[in-house]
Amino acid sequence: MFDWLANPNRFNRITEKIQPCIFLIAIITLVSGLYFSLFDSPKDYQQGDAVRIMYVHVPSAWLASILYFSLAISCVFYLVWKHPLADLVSSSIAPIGALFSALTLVTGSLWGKPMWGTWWVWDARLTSMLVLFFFYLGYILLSNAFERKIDGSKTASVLAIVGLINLPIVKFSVDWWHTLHQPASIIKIGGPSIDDKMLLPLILMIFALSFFSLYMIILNVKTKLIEKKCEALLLKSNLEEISKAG
Amino acid sequence: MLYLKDVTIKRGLKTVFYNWSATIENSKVTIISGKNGVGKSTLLRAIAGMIPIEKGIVKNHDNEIFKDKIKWGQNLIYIDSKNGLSKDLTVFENLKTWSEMRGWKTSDNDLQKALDSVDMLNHKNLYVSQCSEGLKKRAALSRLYLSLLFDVGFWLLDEPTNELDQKSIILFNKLIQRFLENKGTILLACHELKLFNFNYELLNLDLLKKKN
Amino acid sequence: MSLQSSFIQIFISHIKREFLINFRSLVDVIAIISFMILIVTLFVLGIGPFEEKLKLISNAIFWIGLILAIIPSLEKTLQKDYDNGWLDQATTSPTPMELILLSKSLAYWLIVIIPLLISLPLFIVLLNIKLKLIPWLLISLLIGGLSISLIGIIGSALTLGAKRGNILLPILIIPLIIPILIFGVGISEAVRINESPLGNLFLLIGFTLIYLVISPFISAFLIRIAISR
Repeated sequence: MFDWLANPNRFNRITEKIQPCIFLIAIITLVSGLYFSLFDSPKDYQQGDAVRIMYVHVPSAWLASILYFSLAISCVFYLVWKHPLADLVSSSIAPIGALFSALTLVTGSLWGKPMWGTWWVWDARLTSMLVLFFFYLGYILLSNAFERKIDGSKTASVLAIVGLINLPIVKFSVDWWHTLHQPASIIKIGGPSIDDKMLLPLILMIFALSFFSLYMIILNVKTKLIEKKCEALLLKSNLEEISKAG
Repeated sequence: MLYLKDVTIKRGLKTVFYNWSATIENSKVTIISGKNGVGKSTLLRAIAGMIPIEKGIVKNHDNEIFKDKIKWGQNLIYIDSKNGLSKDLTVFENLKTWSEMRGWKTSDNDLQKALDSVDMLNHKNLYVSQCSEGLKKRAALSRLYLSLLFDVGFWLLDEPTNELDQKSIILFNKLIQRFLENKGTILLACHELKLFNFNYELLNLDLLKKKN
Repeated sequence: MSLQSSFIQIFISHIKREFLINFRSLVDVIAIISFMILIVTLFVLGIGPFEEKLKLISNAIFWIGLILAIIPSLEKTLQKDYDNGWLDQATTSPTPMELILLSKSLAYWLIVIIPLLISLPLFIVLLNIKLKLIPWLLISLLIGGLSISLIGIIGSALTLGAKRGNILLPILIIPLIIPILIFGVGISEAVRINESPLGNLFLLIGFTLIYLVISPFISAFLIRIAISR
């Protein structure tokens, strides 16, 4: 299936058709999700209006994790089947994933100020998210650290896969650390006792952000494909000039 | 007979060889020549197994050489301009650790003979960081003598004569002579052809790549 | 004429080579120890000489000192041998790269841990570490040091030939070694509050075992990429 999609022309043709649909779904879910989360959902009896941050915070956290997973999977595809499109996909996912993990951290901290009285608390989830953010950052930095793009792609792909093995351990160890050092007294954001009326905007926002990032990833890949084509054309015209001169 | 059939070798995104074939005769010296950037080093590194061959096969007497990398590793010595000498070790220590890495049990006597064969015995306790380029190259070439004691079939040498003086070139020629007597095969990338006093086959990449 | 040596012999001769390179003189050992003492001193100067505070965080200081002492020298471990062509020689030899790298990380572990063991009494005095803690600290340092070296080799292989590798390396490595710090400090913490440290110890051992298995393969894969450039 992947091999079939890995043809750049076919990729372009298919995404040409589905891209508007994705955009439309993203817009509809985003608008309705924002409406429900901002106006038509109850205040929390403890947290008041601050609870509305959750409608951005939770989907972002969810997406940051799922995007890292897909990044690593696409890196596996790149290293095993060596298809250049897989590399374009993973390098397109990385900045978006990093953005969402940063958004999770920022919203978490914004939510923390009224709740805990400080901007930052070393809560287990936030700490894990911080580590995830550094995994994204490491991937991006490493893939740009080499003179030739392809060396960076290969090396960074290995890093992403090591991260995939390591992240669950980090997550576990941070939870473990947290239970050791602090009793679980912090109110969990989006815990199990969630109002039905809160659930609808939450799901809508998850859909909205997922489709939004899917749209952005496709856009990113397409841009990179065009960039590559330009480079190839430039190289070709250079060669022609050289051969003419020679 | 080392036999390359329809090989494609890439370096980065650049395709250096495309569907390219060549044969290299055994128990002879083959000198790979060609202008800079034509792919002499790439070819040697690919045969040595450092650069993957994307398509095609490389055979040595009907055996695909990369099927059994350990066996192929036993069978070849590769030396290029980097020499592979650690600066923090002496010339002697470098040779010793190198032969140990290959799993060879060599006596100190053998190692000294090897150093003597390239006239490095006087410098054996010199740190590589203090060696001149010529001395480094000679220290690296002392491995060739060691390989005569073991069952090595191929020498892949990338510009081995670059930093050598007149006397060392004579010693180097002697080593090659001995290896040829042992039925060894030598692949050599080099510009200066007049330095050698033996018969060689010429593999001119400029011509061959056009023909293909 | 001569015999082929076994993998174990190759392995040991490799560790010897690393020792020759890294411990040319006593000065190198003293340098590592001084570096750790200075890190500890900085911590104590930073928090003030209050015994109560020190008691709480001495374990953490110890671990962070260890990590900080390891990281700066990591970058060079593979980079040197990459630049001088030794890794080329290793790839074209009959010895598997995985074996070479495993011996390299074990050698690296010994190189870091031996000066640490020599200076341990000093740190016990400096940081007021209780007697009952010492055996656990020793075990956790030995195991934790091994896993840091194993991950460090991966990091070193990742940054081979990279621009600004010396800055990049800590950014890549530190997120990976967070669990070691947590489990390692957890062991000492548990002993301090009179609980069983075995849970943390087993977790640390498990983590180390995972990397003992995967680290040589991952770094060998990375080195093959680096060499094929």
